[in-house]
Amino acid sequence: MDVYGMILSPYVARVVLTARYKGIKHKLKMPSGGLKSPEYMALNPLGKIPTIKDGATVLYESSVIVDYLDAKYKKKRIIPASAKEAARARLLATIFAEYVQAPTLALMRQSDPATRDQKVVEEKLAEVKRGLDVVEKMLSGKTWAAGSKFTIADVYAVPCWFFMSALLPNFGMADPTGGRKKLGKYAAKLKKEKLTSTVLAEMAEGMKNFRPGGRS
Amino acid sequence: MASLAVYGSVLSPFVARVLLVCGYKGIDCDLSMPKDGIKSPEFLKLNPFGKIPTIKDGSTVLYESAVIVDYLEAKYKKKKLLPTAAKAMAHTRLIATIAAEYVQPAGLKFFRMKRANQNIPADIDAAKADLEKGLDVLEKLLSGKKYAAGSSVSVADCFVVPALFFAVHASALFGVSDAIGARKKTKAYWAAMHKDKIAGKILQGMADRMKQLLAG
Repeated sequence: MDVYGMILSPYVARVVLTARYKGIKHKLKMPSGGLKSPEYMALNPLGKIPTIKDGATVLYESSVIVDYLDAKYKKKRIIPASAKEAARARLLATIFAEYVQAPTLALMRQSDPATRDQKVVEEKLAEVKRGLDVVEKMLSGKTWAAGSKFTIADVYAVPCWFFMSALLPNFGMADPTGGRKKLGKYAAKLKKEKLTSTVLAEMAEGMKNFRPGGRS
Repeated sequence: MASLAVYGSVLSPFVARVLLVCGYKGIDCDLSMPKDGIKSPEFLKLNPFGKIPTIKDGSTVLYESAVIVDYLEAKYKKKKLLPTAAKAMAHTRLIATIAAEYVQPAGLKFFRMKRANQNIPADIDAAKADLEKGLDVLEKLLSGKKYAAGSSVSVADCFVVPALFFAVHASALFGVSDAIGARKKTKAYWAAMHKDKIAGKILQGMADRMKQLLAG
């Protein structure tokens, strides 16, 4: 399977985590002619990453890809079989994505203290904290986010945690967990487990080499 | 069995998705707004983000429309709205996601500008451009058959119908007389869904409520 993208993209990271956890052989690469090339736009008319090519199947949008991989490669399911457990895992994934990662990424544009809009910063930090309060309530307190097994919730949590730990300290949150107990334990786990710590390290490496505007 | 409680109002496209799923699956549901408002302590206990839709299905409380839709699909197995085959399922989800992420937001932008009495030409042009782009991708993905993803109704329809409602009716508030234009598959689909018993009823409900709201 070809995965188009780079691991620093949180959307790509979700796909890579899913593929690695499930043991799906894949190759990660950027489209050779760039995201807006006619060749790439023929695969993904939005010109975004990730896009996958799995045999004759071409798909984009990370959430669609993650569900596809879990349905097609049935070993090591990341979506629990029971309707209620699946919904819990999906809800936790959605909260990481929409209520924590989204406001965290919005802070990226406020990185320069000289041009920072303090009102926006405060709004976004408040959103992050509210999201994390809900995460703290919902975390299982077991090995992984939704229970003792790795699930779709972890697939979404890892890139979210990467950007939290990379960005929030610049905005006065030295400890991005804010002292939340279950979250602290969970973050420590992500830094220790091979699958998740490897992705976190690769994302950090990607960030070091990232030059905004330096790519097509 | 007690019926499913759905908190929300039909004009919310997120709520409409859930109502469509209930309609097509034949799930008895009871739609109501939380009686003390979405930011009341009682409602925040159900959904800490204070948003609609939120559902209560026996002791299971859930929010986020996409999570609810997947939950209902997994729990109520009669009349499946998602194909079992991974590829067909992914294609159905992709259509739903494009409607949700690239068509509906542009439509909602028009609606919010109207409600806020905003008339900034640059914002209007940006919303128009976003809408065109989203509709172009949707046109490519639509099956050209009776329903969005093929000859039977699916989750894709539950996302596309409310998205197109805002794409068409909210852009009209800013002088866009025919948002769908020459997009053949979308045009035929949109006409057919007005004749569909379940979608037609929801669309009527959305139109009535929008008229009421805009009349003050």
